[in-house]
Amino acid sequence: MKRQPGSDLPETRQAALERSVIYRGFADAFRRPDGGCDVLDETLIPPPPPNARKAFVDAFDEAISKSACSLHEAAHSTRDQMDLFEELVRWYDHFGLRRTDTAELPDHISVQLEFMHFLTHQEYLHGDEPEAAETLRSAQREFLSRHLMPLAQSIEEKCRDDLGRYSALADQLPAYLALELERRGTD
Amino acid sequence: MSDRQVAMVIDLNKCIGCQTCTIACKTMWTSKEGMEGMWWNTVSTAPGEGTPKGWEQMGGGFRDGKAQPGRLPKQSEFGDPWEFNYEETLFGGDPHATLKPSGGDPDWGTNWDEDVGGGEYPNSFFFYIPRICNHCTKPACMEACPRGAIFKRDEDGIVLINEDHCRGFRFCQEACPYKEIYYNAVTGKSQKCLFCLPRMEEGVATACSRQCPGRVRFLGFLDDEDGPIHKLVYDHKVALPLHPEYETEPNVFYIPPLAPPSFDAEGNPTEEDRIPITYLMSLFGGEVVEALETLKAEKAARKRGEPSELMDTLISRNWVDLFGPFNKSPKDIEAMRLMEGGQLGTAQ
Amino acid sequence: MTAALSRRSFLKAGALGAAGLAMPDFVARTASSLEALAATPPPEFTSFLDVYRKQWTWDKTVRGTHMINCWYQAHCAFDVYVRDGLVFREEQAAEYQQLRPELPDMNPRGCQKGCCFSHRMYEPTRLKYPIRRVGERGSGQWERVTWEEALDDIADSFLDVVTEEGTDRVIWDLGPDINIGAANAAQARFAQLTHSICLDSNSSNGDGHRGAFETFGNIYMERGIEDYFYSDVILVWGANPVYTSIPNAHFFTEARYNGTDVVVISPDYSASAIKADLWVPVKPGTDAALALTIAHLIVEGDHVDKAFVSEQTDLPLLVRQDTGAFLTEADLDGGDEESFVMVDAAGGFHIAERKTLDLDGVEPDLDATLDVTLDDGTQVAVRTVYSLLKERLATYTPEAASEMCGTAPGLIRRLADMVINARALSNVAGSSMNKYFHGNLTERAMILIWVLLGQMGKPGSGYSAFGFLANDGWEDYVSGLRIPERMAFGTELGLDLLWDLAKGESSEIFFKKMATTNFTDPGSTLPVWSSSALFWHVHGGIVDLAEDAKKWIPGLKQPVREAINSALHKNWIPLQPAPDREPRILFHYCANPIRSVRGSQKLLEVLWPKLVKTVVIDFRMTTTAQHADYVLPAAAWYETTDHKWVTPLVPYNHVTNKAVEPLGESQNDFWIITMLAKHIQKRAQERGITSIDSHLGKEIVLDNLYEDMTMDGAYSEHDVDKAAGAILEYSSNLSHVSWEEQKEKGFARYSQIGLSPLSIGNAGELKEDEPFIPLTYHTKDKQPYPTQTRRIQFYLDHPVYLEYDEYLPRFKAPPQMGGDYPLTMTGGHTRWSVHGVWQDSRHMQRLNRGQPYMVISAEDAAERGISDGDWMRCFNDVGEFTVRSKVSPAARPGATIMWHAWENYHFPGRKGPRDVSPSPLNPVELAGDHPHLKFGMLEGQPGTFDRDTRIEIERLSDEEAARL
Repeated sequence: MKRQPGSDLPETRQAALERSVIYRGFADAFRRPDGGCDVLDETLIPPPPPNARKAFVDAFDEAISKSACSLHEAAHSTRDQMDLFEELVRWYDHFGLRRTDTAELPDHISVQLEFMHFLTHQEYLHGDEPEAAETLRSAQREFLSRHLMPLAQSIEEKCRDDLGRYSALADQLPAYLALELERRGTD
Repeated sequence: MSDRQVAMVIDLNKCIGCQTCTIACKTMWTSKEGMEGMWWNTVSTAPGEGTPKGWEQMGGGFRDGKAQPGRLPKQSEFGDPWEFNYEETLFGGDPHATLKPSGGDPDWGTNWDEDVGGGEYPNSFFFYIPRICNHCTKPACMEACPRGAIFKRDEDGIVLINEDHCRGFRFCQEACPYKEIYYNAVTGKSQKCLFCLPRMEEGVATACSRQCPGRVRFLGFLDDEDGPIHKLVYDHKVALPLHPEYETEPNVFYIPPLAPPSFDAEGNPTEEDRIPITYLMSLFGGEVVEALETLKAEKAARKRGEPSELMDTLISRNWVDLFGPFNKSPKDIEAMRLMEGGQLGTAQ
Repeated sequence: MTAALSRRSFLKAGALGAAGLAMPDFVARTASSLEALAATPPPEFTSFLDVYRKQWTWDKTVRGTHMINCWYQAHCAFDVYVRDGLVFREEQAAEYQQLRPELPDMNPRGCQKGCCFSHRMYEPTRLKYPIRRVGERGSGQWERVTWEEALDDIADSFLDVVTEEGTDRVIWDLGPDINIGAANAAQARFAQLTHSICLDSNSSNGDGHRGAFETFGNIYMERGIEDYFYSDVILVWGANPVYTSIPNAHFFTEARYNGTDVVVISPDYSASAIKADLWVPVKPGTDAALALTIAHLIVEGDHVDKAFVSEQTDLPLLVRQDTGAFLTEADLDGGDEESFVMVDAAGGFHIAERKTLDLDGVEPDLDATLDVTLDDGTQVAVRTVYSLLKERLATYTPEAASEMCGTAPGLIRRLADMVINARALSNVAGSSMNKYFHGNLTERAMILIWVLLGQMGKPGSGYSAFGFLANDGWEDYVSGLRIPERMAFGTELGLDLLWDLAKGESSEIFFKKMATTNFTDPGSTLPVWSSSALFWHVHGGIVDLAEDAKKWIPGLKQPVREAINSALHKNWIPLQPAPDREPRILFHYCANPIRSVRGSQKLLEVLWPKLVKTVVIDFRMTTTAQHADYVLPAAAWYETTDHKWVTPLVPYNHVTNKAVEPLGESQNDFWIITMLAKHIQKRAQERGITSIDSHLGKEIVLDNLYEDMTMDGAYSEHDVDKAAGAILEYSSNLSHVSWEEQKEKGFARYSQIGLSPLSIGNAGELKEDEPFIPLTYHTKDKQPYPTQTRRIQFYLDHPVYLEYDEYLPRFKAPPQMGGDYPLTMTGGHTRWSVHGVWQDSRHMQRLNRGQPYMVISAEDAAERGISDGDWMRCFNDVGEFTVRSKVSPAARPGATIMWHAWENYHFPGRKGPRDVSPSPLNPVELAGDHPHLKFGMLEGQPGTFDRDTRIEIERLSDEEAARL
């Protein structure tokens, strides 16, 4: 049975809930030109521009646009793509998850963010169980530092800065992840 | 010395340089982090620099039983694993954008001098030489390792690095005269060809052997008198180790290459060999002369319609006969650990 | 980032209202739902390394193959290993049965490219959703659109164009990877229902085997690969099987061990030459001189198989010396104009039978020269083709030939000895010769060797030209499996054709004639085809590049443009759409003309501005896709189920199974094309458009197109698997193994050559336990050939062939395309890609040089101060491009090699070898109005040629190179 969010939650669980929602917002925002708008603050991440579908391609589809910055970790890493897929699938697999048939490739940033959405949601549910909470935190820590943060930083570095919402996304994600890592460092 | 020794014979007359073995090995073993620049299996055009570039001048091995100094090959000598500038330039309308390796024009790669070879046109000559770890009877790498991390398995003579013990000192890399050991900068360990141990243990031929469309590689135990390896190495004496003078006693053997006749100054065919015999002797030792004579004589016998056990063995009409007891299909091995990360080679 | 940011700054007010799990990319593996999974405590986790070390198994393996036209080496059954909806690796299935104990089996089949396709399909070039151009064409400005939007917009353009300007304004540009399976059936069915035009690109690609066509009336002749084991001499001539037939190459190396002599004839000491018992170096484009010399030595040494040539060829037929035409029965006594005449030693005339090759005891005089009195009383001199040929051959002594082809006389004699003394002589077919302007003459000269020696139609013996083996149920599907359509199909074949059959013509001749109706017949329920070479030259402006052709081509009688116009005017060749009807919509399917067409720079300049829409269907961003209006993402070969044609070399139908879902929003081709029909129907209904007449006068029903396309829903867009199965069920040569069984195993041996016009010319029986031998229906069963004389024909009495002195095979010096420059730019198929598909694969490029290069000889490099790896400018009168050098002693001085299939974007400035290849059409190849020199499927069309291109190269200075 689903637990409802509420102010009576202990701070760590309340925080996990918020974090989980933020991850979902970022996952949506990197998946679709107009995703995540219901969650992410508009002062940090502006709403989609009128030409969102073009701007999104310009920003993020390296198969199509000459100036795009890939959202795939394989494009930013010297690692072999299949090995990276294998590692990521093993991560997801370990925590009981399986790709849907229509999912993006496992190294896509939205998939990685969605995985963090899951782990933080689980932390919100199990935050009162010390062993479970610690397991989830250490997994988040390692996943962030091995995959999501380096990818987000590389995207921030390579993404054009004249693409409004999408440049903001590329800038704000590593900022948020830095907060996350800072926090995880002190857990 | 191990109790038994698996060996491989590579037929250079059948090798077409397609590098399917290289890809089979690459995708099976060396795609892990830190291994992107490794090629446990290579195919080089000979004569040429080979891989790593100029490896025959890097030392190692033994002379008169004494270990010889060697030097470390650099990653660039193996060929950098180029990344391409897809995301920067590939798909726009910019007429100046060109797809190429990131980091500038390369001047070396693992197969850089493919199909170049030597000689002077029309007396050009070249052939392909695939290489893996030789799983030597006297492994120089093993002797050089101060950690005792390298061992030779009793049951099959496969030489492995125990990564739990390896500290990445890289003495093995200096000592191996074939430069078949690689250093993983991510894990800080040395790594090399496993002779596809997890496959071989299940009766499946090595990926480089089973996936070879040229049907170039024979597998089996050296002491199996009915197997092709024994016949080719000992009975017919046509399979020779590469650079026997390194004294490590390799367990990979080569059928030396034939070539079309050379031409005289007018361009008419001569009886002279196109590949200088001195060059082949520098690779395979003096026994190559007799081995080539045997091959030519047996081919001539077949041309006259006479039987030839040697030619039948080399043809190997039934493909799986190449692999001796290692004749199973990987898909039929339920428990096969085809994608086990990082740790293979430590389980003894 | 400001220090004041906190977690909450990222959240919108009220966002926690949506605090549940929302995960479109994942499902729960170990629980009934994601919620249930989250509610379960997490598994133990210490560090990722421990996870990494856990045993990992596959979800499944399925049989797959690669739906690519790698032609002579096709195909290979693979096990495809799947985990979590991703393909991680593949390995050869290697389950082909040995035919006979004395023959090697085919295992394991595969190559380095197939062995990493799983990597290839996930590389960054993969397309994942439909995109629409928003900037100028080629500007790289795109927006993501939905399928709905893309298909509606394309459907509207389609309706605008066909209603306002005609159905022939819509063109399907079909590249080499058409599969003759369900995907391609959808395309062909769409085209036949809408009378849009399909481009036949075979000759344009340089694979037309024109010489075989001119000689046999047919290019389809190829043996089973194991048959090489029965040869004692194999000539690898115009082919490089070590690069292009990787899975088959072991048959050559093993045959060599079995005592066979392998001879490689090539300008460079190629990767195949190193495997030879004799290598014969030859100047590029001069092989005809070599072949004719061998033919001369055969004749001179009295080695001609007289019985064979008397029975099977036109050599005993008489030719009038006044007109150059064959002497006919009509000439003699007013009889049949299509019956030709032989004379016996006693001077008695005999009519060459047209329904059989059997001479029935007649012994024609091969070497006759005589005078005959015609029906009208005039007396003319006549000679046998053989006597004309013999006279022509006499000039080809080894010494004379050596001057032409650069091969030493002693080497020519040695080669001729091997050939003449061969018990069983075969060749390895490649398509190199078709890429030379005079390649037709070369191929005719080569064929002469086999025919004079009677080395045809026996084990290990025979000339191979063009390999193709297809199911014959495909046409049934395309024309419609519904009963009324099938009946219409039967009657629309045309009464003339049926009359032919009734008169006792062979089924080969019948079906080949039927195929030519695809080019012209309004009633046909097969798609309308047109020559792609002609299309690009006329509509695409490539003919403009040939303005200087008279300077380049000695003996050219008229400008190429005039030759084309005249051929069109005389109706020698059809072109659709007609020259005055501009194309409006191009669908590029399995095609990439801006990369592949020689002189393609003209297409963007001349053709593209005429187009309302250009649509690319592909799984990767090709050069052509960069210049498209829409790019529709196709499924990769492990993401759909279908089957693929092959060649008699490996006579197994191959199947790929859908191992995983198409990536992103990509869809299989069958779905895409069927959905296009659906949207056209929808928009037609919405716009009140019902039906129109096609340019050929057939009624095209637009508001019911989807129903027709799917045969009233029987084969909807989701039914690629069912359609693929239906095609096989209707195939006489594949229905013996059920579709389910074929999918399971991944391959099935064809039971016979079948009746497809794309295979029937192989004319032999395919047996279960024997390698296939082509043309035995002719050589053994004495069925006539589909030529003018119904015989293997070396003499062509067409006026253009007479005008150009090509009525018999001869040597003509290679033209200097692009101007009088010292180097010939040759080329060939690369080891590292099939077409462009692997040219930007990391794995393949890391084993190559990562960039295009031109191979140049050590001598030419030294003369020009060029070192290995230097940047060079390559130029001629037509254009220039920049490329790096690869200096090799294996390359022939004077000849460079540019291995093919680099995309334009691999070259600085996006100019490549096609920018210096003007590739004018050869006027003799435009000849028509002749019993067998006319259009057929994949044959009888003008080719395009790049191997005679002349260039000069110069080293770029370091400063220039640094600016690239």
